[in-house]
Amino acid sequence: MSRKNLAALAAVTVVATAALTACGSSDDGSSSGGGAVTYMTWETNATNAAFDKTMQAFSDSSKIGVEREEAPNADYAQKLASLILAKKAPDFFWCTAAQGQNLAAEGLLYDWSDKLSSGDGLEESKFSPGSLDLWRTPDGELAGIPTLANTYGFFYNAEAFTKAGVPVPKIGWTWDDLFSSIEKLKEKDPKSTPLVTQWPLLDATAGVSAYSVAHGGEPLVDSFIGATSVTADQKLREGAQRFVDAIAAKEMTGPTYDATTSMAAFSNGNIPLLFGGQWLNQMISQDAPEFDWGYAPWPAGTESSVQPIETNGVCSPATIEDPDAVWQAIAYLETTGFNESMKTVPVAPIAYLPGTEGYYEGLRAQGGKAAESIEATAKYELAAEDKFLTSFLDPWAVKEADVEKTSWTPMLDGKKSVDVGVDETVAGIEGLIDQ
Amino acid sequence: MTATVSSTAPAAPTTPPAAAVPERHVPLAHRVPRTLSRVAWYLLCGLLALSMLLPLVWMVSIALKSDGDVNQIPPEFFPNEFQLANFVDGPAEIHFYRLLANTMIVTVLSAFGAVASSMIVGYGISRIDFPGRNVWFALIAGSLFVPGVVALIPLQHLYINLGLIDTWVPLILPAFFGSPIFIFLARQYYQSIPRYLDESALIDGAGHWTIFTRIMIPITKPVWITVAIMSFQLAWNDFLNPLVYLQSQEKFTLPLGMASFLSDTAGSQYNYYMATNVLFMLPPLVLFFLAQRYFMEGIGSLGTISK
Repeated sequence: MSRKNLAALAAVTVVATAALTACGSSDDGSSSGGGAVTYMTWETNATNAAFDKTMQAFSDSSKIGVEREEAPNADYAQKLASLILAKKAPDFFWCTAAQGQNLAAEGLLYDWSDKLSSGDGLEESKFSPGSLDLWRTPDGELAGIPTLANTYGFFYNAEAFTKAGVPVPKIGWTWDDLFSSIEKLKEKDPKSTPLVTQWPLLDATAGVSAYSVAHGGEPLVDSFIGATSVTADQKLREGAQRFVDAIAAKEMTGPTYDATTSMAAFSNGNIPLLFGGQWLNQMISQDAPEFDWGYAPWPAGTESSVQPIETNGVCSPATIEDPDAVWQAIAYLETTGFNESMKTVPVAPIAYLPGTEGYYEGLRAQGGKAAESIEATAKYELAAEDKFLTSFLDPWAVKEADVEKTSWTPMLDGKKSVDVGVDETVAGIEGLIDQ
Repeated sequence: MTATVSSTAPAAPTTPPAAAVPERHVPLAHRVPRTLSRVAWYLLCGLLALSMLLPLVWMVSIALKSDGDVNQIPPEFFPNEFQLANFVDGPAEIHFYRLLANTMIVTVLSAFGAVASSMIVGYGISRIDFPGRNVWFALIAGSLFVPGVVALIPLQHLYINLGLIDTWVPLILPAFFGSPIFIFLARQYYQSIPRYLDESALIDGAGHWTIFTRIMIPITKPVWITVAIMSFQLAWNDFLNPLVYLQSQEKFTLPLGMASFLSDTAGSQYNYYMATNVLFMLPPLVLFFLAQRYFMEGIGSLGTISK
């Protein structure tokens, strides 16, 4: 081998060795923070930057190091699964209530119930009504601490409504108002589809179950955590039929609609009514629509106003080394961190009520009627006594998506009758519960 | 004197019956005027070139747009205001140049591993007679049909048990164990090289290592450059493995870092994403243009007849 070749081989070996050894990991199963409390979010770069800033302030004052680990939003679930499998999950991480319940059922999460009940840093009574219930496991453990409380409602183009002679949606509007509005909007512009669903909830089983309860009927399942029975009464079938009819008349989009560009379409004035979560405000306001717009809550029924409840939260692996330090970081996040970060990037109200003022301040800073209506809707939904969960939280919930896909979705698309679709869905969920 | 027509002069030709003369094939080039043919050809080439370039131009257009412009419906081809700052702010947001260095190290080492292992294994199953050679080749060729993602979970367990999570080892090491497609490519090329070269070298006292390094490496340049380009591209664009194996941001590769611009729920920063993507695609593009000739030869070798 020539000297030149030997030199090249040596160079490659040195680079390879440096690359493979200099960046080696510790094999003690701990996170990469080197003693610091580590956490991971699914937020955007801008929101994460706001968190970095406020958590640095906590770190400076408490002398507890805090490090955020990066995870791409679009593949967060995959990333989290990999970290949990490798026993490398951060000390606390963003999770949905369903993820929390599933991970807790497998014994993978730290039970925060003792810390919370001790009143050290956080008080149970200051969480919005019902939000903690989503995180209690059937065994009485606390799978996580609720944080970002999503609301669901309707972004409306006030000018399109006024032009069509239809009252603008507002707090207290009803399901009848919703269906008659989209019917009139359709009459005014027969080529359009007035209601676009950006998020799969309105006409999903959970949404129609809420319709049923609001009209004096029964919910689809007796409990969203630890469900034992499934009921599909006349009110639920009536709700399903109204959605089927609206979809068939092209007054609203169906369950297979690709809503990727719906926010942009709304911002450009092409959609009069857009169903989705309050976080869409971040995208819509960025586009600066040149018309009056706002955000109205979930409609009320003839008997009651049942509003959605969906709190995401933070979970910790069962193996965290310093629960006290992690708890202090979580408590800071709830009481101060969210107030600071949401003031800069108002994404969602916070389930821990003393921590939610920053979100409203952020909305007020955004200004305009739209921001006012978002604040009003968020407060209305969070304060509501009658609530419904936006998804099933039992371990079988993952498979329930298949039931919806094979029975509920074809029904909404008009490929099955309402009775057949509903009955198949009920039978499918019963089968999952029995398993 | 007036000219007279000789009685012996041949008579004016008369048209014979059609059935008696076989129909002659007139090439298309003679039937279609040359100019029309040229115009049609250039039109076709232009259309193909446009279909290739349009996505690239569209990408640059998005990279130059402001946040509001990106979400215009119907979309506008040209930005209302050219935001060249996206090419600075976007990369800065994800520490682009650090991630670029990471990606370069991982990619170069992976490409080196892929070339070395594939060329050696390809040489072995092509030029050395040993029992079960064909079985090994069949196994390697058969594994072409196994999707790589099938091995993800077992491999992840392996790396977890070896304590190699959050290192670049899982991203680089597999390349050193050969890739079926690259081994197949190398083997096909080796098969087209006359045997007398090896035999002459053997008579002169050369061993397999000498034959491989002194004879085969120089004359298989097109195929190992092809393998280098293809493995470079695979490692460069890899998203899933870094997502699964890397945890610390300082070790991230570019595809993983750029993913932070995309969001399922909270809105994507497409302008920053495209601006960084334009920069991200430059190294493989430059590499391809530099080695294009060899790449074509290497790919062409797949069709050679075994000897």
